[in-house]
Amino acid sequence: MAKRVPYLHEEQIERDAAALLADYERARGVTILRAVPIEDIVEKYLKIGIEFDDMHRLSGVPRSGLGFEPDILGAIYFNERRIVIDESLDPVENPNKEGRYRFTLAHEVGHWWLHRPFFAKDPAQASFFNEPAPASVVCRSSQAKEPVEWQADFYASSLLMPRKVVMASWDEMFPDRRPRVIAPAVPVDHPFVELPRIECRIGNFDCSETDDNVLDRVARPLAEQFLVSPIAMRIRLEKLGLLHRTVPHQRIITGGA
Amino acid sequence: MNGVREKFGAFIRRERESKEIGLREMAKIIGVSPTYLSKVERDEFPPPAEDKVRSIAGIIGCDADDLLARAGRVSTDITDIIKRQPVELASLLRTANGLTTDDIARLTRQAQKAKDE
Repeated sequence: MAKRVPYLHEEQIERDAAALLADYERARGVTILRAVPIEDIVEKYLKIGIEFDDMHRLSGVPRSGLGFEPDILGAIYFNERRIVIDESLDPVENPNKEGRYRFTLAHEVGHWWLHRPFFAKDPAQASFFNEPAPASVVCRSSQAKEPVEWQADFYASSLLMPRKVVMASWDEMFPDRRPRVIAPAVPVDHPFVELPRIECRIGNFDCSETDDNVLDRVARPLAEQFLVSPIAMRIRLEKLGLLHRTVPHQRIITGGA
Repeated sequence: MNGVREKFGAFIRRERESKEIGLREMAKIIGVSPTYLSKVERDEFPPPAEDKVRSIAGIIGCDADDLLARAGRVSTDITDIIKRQPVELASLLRTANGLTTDDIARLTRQAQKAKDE
């Protein structure tokens, strides 16, 4: 069961993430222009240790689901100041997991900043005798929609893809500074659904692009600059209003049931 | 003296963190994966090979022989030296066993003097 936490507005979460980055930049005398040095922030600035382990074995939860992909990707131990990342995300053994590894680290930092006060006095965190204390928060992909996990995800997104820095990168990529609009390339053929006629604008041209095209053409180059996954970047671009997705409208039925 | 010596993994982790060296950073320098180093630091895996222990000693700034001893090993050059004169050196070591650190240092200086002459 996921821990209940108070509602937090997106703006507040984004402000918290920006404040951490600003503090880090001040302390280190640096300016972050692209990829956020998340490991440096975790290990050297926040003094939180990073470890790798088999999270399912550690949590005593067998892997299940398609292809036995791990559901548990990370955990944080507030009292011990340590983060444990599932070894499947080791960015050296699996370079294609670099983005997910960094996002999981930032997600745990999100728990550290947003949720630590709510776990600090949790008796379930107490360690009895010499037994190791249980993790404060164990993060499961299957619980991504729970508020505690959603908030940490949004924090991670804001921390790794800071609004100002992404905006600046977007302006470099698209000097016209205009948002881009995505629409399904294949028309939706359904009696209750219709699509507006003009859905997409790339430069001065109206056209349509599939999600995959957008990932390759727009999100991927930015994702590579920020060392995040293309999907994480696309979600962030949509959140920042730089990519728009047309949503099929329900047709108003006027001819009776 | 503290009776229980800190284990190899816990020791290198503490030293690494005190010198602000990241897990991935150190793993890269010694040529292992962060997962492997993480398990060594938790003492789940045995200490790595001698060359890597020496490399770690250089990174965290401690004596390589001391770190090798913590890893439960003796430097290969020491074992090679003993193998060349096993009777005499074994006798010397057995005799020196139990001497204080200062006594051993004095003995070393005398040995060096004898070699120089």
